[in-house]
Amino acid sequence: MKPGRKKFNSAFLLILLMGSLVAALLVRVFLEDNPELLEMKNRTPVLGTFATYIVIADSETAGLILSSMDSLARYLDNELGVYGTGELSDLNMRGYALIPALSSDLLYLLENSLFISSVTDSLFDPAMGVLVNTWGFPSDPHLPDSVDIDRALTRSGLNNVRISGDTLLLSSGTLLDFGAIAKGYTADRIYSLSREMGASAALVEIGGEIRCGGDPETARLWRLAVRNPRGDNIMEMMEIENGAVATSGDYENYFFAGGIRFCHILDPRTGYPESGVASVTMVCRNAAFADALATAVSVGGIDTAENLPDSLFSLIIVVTEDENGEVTEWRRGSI
Amino acid sequence: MLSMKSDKKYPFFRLNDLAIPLVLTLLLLSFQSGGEGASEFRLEAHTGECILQFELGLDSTFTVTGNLGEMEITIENEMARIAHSPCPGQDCVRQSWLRKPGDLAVCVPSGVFIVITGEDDSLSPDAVSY
Repeated sequence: MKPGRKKFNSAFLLILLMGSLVAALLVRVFLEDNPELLEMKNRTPVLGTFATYIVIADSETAGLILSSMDSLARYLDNELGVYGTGELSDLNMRGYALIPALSSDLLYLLENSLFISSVTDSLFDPAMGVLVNTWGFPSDPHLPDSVDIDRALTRSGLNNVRISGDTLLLSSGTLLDFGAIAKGYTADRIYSLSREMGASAALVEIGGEIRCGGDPETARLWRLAVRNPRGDNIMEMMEIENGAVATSGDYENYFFAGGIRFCHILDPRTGYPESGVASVTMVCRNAAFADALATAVSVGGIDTAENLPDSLFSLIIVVTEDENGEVTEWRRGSI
Repeated sequence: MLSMKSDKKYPFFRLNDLAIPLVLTLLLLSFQSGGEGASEFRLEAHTGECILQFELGLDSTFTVTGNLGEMEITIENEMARIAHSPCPGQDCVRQSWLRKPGDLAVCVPSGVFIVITGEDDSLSPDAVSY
């Protein structure tokens, strides 16, 4: 062997050795700095559906974080429910509330519902409780008499919600129902709680509305599937580091009458369920907006999706179905 | 008396002597990082109470409890499907067999979904938007 070649091999081997040692040292240091970093998952019934929580945190706090997330979900479920003993139920029963006395949760929902209503030509409306009841969603859906729908419409809509001084007033019989934004909002709140408690990364899914994120150094890329509204598996698989995904579809809660599908998404203009839109998926910064905008676009269709401000979303996927059952996918934006 | 005298022909430390330990160390590290998670395909049933895992290679029928009551899930010939559900629409029952990692069936009213996971766990979703 030539001396020069041998010298080169030795130098190469030395560099390889040093590199391996440094890499091994880094792995060891990382493991010691994160002695018991765990990814824990919990799935539990809440808000009339199911929730999934995934948390990456150290072993000492991961369990506590998951338990606190579940407790907050149950608290918000009660406080934001149309019926029961919570704050929203109390407001609906009394028909008024002092605005400074409202909780930050209810105030957020009111303010942002008004905002989303304003950017969707009032197609998102949280004052539809009476109309929803008339159709019997979710427990007893049925086709009501048109007179009943007209009567319910007069007591529905944000035009029946007024602010006088520091008092919020509902017209007689009007019911606020945040069902189209509450799941997303609850997902946001629970996600924020987990991060405040020390989770390096977390995912919250409530009834299909998802909020996820994490520290950049954790680099957890969340793999999220979107259900095909007319197919038999996944329509879309996306990877997101931080953000929210919500889907609204006519397959969630529906019934057939006279061969026509009637879904739970009601059009505040007509009082009848939307038709023609099979599903809408919104990818946004937060789940509350994604949830509410998905509902509004389900009602307004592609026209509404085309006119949404760019700043509110990353991606919109609208799946429509015509009278012949032909399904078309429309997209705006990207991840 | 033992002498430590060296004739310089075989130095105490030769770089080439490290080749075998180095290779063994690298092999050990590679097993530690990549050895876990290698397994057969399996079926995960995400119910209201828990996440159940089943070997896809074993034909079986089992029940899980969702929002509306008990659902029956069948595994047959390394495929899986929701066989019976109390939901009104029965969309989940009409779905075809799930065969490969990433395939999933969702019963929205029951709040239950089943998904196949396997060797390539990156194919299974962390969550489903529906």
